[in-house]
Amino acid sequence: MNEDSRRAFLSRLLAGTGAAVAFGALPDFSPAYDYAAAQVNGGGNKFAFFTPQEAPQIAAVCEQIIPSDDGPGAREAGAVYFIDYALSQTEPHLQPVFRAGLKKLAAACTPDKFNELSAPQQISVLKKLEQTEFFARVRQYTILGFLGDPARHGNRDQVGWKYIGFENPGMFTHPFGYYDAEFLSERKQKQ
Amino acid sequence: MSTSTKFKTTDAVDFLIVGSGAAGGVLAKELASNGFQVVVLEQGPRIDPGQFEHDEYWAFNLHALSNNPLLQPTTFRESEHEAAKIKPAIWYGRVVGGGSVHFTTNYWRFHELDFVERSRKGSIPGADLQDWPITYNDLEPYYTKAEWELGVSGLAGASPFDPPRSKPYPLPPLPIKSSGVLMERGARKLGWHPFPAPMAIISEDYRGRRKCMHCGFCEAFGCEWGAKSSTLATVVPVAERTGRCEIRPNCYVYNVEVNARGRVTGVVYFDKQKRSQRQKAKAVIVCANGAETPRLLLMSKSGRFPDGLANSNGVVGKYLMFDSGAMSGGVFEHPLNEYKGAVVSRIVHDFYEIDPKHGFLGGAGLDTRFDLYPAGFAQSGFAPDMPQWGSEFKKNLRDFPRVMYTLSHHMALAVESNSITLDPVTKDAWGLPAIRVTYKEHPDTLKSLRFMQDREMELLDAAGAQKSWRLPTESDYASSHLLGTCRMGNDPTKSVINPDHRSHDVPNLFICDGSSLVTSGRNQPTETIQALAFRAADRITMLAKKGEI
Repeated sequence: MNEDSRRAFLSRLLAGTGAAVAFGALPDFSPAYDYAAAQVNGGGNKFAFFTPQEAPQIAAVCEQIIPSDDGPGAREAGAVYFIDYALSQTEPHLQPVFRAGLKKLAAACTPDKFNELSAPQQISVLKKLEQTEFFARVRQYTILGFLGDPARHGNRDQVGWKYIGFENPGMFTHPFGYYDAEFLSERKQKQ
Repeated sequence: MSTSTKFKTTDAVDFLIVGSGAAGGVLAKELASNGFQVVVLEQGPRIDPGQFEHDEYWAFNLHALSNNPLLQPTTFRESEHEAAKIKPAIWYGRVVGGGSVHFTTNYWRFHELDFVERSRKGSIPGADLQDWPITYNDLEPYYTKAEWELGVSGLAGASPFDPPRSKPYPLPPLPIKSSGVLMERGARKLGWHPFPAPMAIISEDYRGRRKCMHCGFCEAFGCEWGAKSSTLATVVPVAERTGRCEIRPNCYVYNVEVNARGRVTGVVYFDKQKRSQRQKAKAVIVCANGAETPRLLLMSKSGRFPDGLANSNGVVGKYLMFDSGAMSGGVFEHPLNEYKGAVVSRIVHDFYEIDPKHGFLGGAGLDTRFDLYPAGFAQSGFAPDMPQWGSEFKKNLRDFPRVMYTLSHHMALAVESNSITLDPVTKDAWGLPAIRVTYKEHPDTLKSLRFMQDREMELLDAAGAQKSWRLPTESDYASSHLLGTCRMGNDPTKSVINPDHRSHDVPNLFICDGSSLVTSGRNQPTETIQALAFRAADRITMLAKKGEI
């Protein structure tokens, strides 16, 4: 998605097309996000930072950090595209950590392609690297690529948010959860 | 939106205020309303609330509303005997509205005790606990003024521990969340007294502003509705409407200049293009927060003040107090959906004074809350011994809607060696000396953290948590409450400002922000900072009208 379209969307909302928006029906943000995800996905799965050799390696690490076992994971969220976006667009100072880390990753694998190892082998390699800055960064950015704002090229179709049970429509009405709803209904009964 | 009033840099305005945050915004509005010309220089940009995003990466990684450690590195060490290493150690709002834009909105008055704890408890080895030169009663009218001018939701009289107040809150409490209901149930079982959290968010339409829509993006985010009572949403526009106040963003002040008579004549700052500019003023009020305020004074060296401005006694930068807290998490049977609505809806003050029989001096408030947005939850929401990646980790992420946290907010004891100084080596992107933080919690504060974390685990258990865990109490974090570094006092050898917020050394230099605080309260400082700002505005106005500035 394009940041401008999202801002425009928000500003329209904020400009308060009147009381109906502010106090009445909840606007549904999800079409906007679906649109955004389609834009992102339609934008192609090209890498600006990772080389064609590096991309499948880093993607395989992401897929061990948040696997796709019981539902969509880092792969379906396109977490690696978020990481590529962050490293190429917003945080280029982190590039050396990833580039050097990928070399160390290859050195820790026999043969040296992490993505060609079996899952148990991959896990055992990552356990050895757990304390490195590289692993901490890949973990942090995989999480952001799974659970961050879809506008940043990860969390496609909000798969991460749907998996954990989060939504971001921009406003909610009370009660919010089970216990406050229960509290309100108990109070009503007493009255 | 933005002001049409512009002053020339050569105009010696009545007051130049450094910083537009919790204190600076209030002082600007009060002084401009009282007829003075005011220029406010803000380090950060002016961001239209329509541009505020609900994006963790934007707020936390790109530092859209706060200081960016890449451009403004800080160094950190635990004691003066160590070499300081580069590490993000402070977190402050760097935008028009300052920290009041991204704060969580917990809005607690200090209690009477906080002003006189030294005389009540005596001296504490290793700490420099002092009484304030003013009392709760001196500040009470200004607490009330802050609540009504800015818009605060709460329920007066709901806590048996509350200090006396002259007026109720202007707005009823925000709706109770599931975490609040669980606090009510758990705390009452334990014999504690939960009450609706006072929050600087308007629960109903107030003075032309629209009420909270419960979007859930409060902590670390700006409110696009203007329902959060930041200075940006409240006093800044009022100041601008007077026609006597200019809020000038992207101005990084690095020198407060003095003349041969030892009086302040204005400030020098970098503008957006990194060009040096000199703004003249008849008086300067520094409201740049508890880290940037002492740094600015320490950078403002002159023949007359070789160790930094207002620092003839060497106290500037000392007695730094951080936002100490312990946090624990719990999973419940049903969804709480804590990500909806404001962060906190119920708190307890039963441990405001922890019984000294436990062997330490400490006190804390305790809340139940939403604390971590989705990525933050995955990144740091689980205890270190819980899975941090892989299949089990991912399954635990599904607990997100059923999780709440409980967080304690502690008195941090003032320690002389905890300080802000200028790093002798590291510079920021403007070539200015980086902030060097020296900080180690007083042992009593550490004991109080462990004590309160035990209470948190009891609370989660009493509330019916299926599973609960402790987060590390001594984790590496950047503090967002920056207090005590230009403390107020009557004795010019032991404090930086007098009770009028005037520096002891320079008659037309005033300081008002977190640095003014003598004690940390129970570490929800914003209301006290703003009450002090309203009071300072009255004192400064009176002095100006008598021709004494």
